[in-house]
Amino acid sequence: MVINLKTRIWLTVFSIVLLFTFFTLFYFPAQQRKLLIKNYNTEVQNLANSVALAVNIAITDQNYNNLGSTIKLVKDDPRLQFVSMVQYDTVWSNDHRNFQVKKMIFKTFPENEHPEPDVQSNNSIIVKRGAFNTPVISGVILLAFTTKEINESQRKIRFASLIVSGIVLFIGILLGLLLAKKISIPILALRDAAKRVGNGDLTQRVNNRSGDEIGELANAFNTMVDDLSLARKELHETNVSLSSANQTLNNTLGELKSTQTQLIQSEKMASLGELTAGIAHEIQNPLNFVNNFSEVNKELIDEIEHELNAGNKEGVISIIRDLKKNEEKIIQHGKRADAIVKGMLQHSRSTSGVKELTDINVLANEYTRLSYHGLRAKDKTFNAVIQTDFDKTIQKINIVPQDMGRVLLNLLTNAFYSVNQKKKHHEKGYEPTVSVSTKKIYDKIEIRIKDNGMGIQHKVLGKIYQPFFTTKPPGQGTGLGLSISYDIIKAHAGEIKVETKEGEFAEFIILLPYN
Amino acid sequence: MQSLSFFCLIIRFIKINDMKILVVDDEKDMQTLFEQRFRKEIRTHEMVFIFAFSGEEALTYLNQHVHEVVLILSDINMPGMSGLDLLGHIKQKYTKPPPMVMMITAYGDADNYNEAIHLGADDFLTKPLDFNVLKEKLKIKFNDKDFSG
Repeated sequence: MVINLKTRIWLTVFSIVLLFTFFTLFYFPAQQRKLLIKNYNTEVQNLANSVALAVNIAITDQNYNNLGSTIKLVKDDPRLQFVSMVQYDTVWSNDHRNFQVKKMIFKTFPENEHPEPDVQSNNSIIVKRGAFNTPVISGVILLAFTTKEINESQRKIRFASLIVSGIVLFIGILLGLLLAKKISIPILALRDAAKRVGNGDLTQRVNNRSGDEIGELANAFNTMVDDLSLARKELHETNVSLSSANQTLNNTLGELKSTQTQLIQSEKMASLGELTAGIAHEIQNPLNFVNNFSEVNKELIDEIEHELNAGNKEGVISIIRDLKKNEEKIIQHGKRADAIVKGMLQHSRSTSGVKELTDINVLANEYTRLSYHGLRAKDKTFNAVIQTDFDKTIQKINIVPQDMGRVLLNLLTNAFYSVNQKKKHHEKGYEPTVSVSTKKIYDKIEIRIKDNGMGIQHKVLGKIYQPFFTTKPPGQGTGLGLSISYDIIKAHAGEIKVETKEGEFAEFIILLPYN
Repeated sequence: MQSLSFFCLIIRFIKINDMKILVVDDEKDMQTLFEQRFRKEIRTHEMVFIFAFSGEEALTYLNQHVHEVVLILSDINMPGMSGLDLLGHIKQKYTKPPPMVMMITAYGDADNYNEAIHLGADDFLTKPLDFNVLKEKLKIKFNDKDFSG
């Protein structure tokens, strides 16, 4: 149970007042009575002793007449209940071995009282004894005083105490309420203001001009809210300027995007132009051979006829040998044209495959072996060290496996070609090395294909993804490999980039997003 | 008439014997093709063909045989030094008299043509090459040369 501050203050004051009331009502009157009774006892005892002394003297002097005046000390006292003279007689038993003290009221004043000789003090009277001892008679003076007056005065005290306690209690409650109010109201006001400030209303101030701690607290609170309000205002201003800067940035970004779109568009157009020119060049070169060797062959056939008519058999054989060579050239260049057209078709089909969840590591491993053994089959002298480093933590990724395989094949074929070229031209210590690695980077997969071959010349670095651009001799490369790879990676929303140092290495880096 | 033409042939033979045609192309089969296509001319020594497979190789040859080559047939699109680079070099370096340069290219577009002509190309042919046309042109050029020389 939570007792609030106001109740707590009030309860404290009330308890203190209650304690005080208890003392005034019970403890002090009781103490007072005790003191009064003690004084009264002493006084009554003294009086009893005085009367006993007077009786003693009177009897000793045998002045029995004077005996009645012995009680004049007390007989007019209004508090007197009675005064008696008690005579003690010693009565022996018949054999004189034991004796008994017999007490007997000899005389009592006022005479209507008949007290017992052994009467004791009680609530209404105080009984004291004063002994007298004469040869004639011995006994005690029994003096009883009423306590009525004491009881009366105690009653008065109790009454006065009650009145005072009531007043004190009333004042106490009033004071408690006042104190509680004085402390709790400003604190409650502070609490409410703080709550409202907490809810965001920074216009809240507490009006308390008292110089006490609560006043100081209120001032501190006001200062704090002032500071807070200022800070909020500054923050707001900063926010406004930030959002304006953000807006500007957004606009710039928009402009950049539109420029980029335009650039891409014009790049595409340029690339289309290059493609057309490329097709022309690439197709017309083999076509040149096909056409001309065919025409030569036609002439050679005419010559065969001519030689046959002349009966020159050796001439015919020589011509047929040329004819055969030329036919081989025609077939070779026809195939070359075919490869170019097929490459172009792949280009146009590069985004048409079906995506499926694929393990990149398996794919990379498969195509590394494929391209290496493919090259080995063509060239027995070819050899290279293959290093693989596959990140086993990467999960399957949604790609078109055939397309991605073609990319890997293209890059690997280039890598092997490059190291092979360098080996042909280089010192014996050179060890051709191609390394393939995969790695998970946040939400992407990175594939790196690195070779320590010829590297790429800086001046052609911008052209490597252009269709038909190749550094290989005529007929050995279509110049479409990287171009197709670029398109495939784009279709997968990925990135392809290259790091190279001429004569030292080339490293292609593919980044594929998981989604 | 017969003797005149024979005489002319003799003169031509003498004249042409030290006049060579340099063919520059990175396609190695060009050599086979030229040798087949001009086999009669080669057999009769009417024409002598030298082959270079890059611009650099052509320049090296030209440096060693300055006045022998009268005509250069060059491809444009070659790795390394392009045909146009070669053309520029030749027309700048060999001024007295500059050898004739004919460009033979698969890139028959206006840009290439204009640039070649601007650099001083004497003619511009496109692939696939029509050897009949080429032969005619060569013969005319040589005849011109004969009469001018």
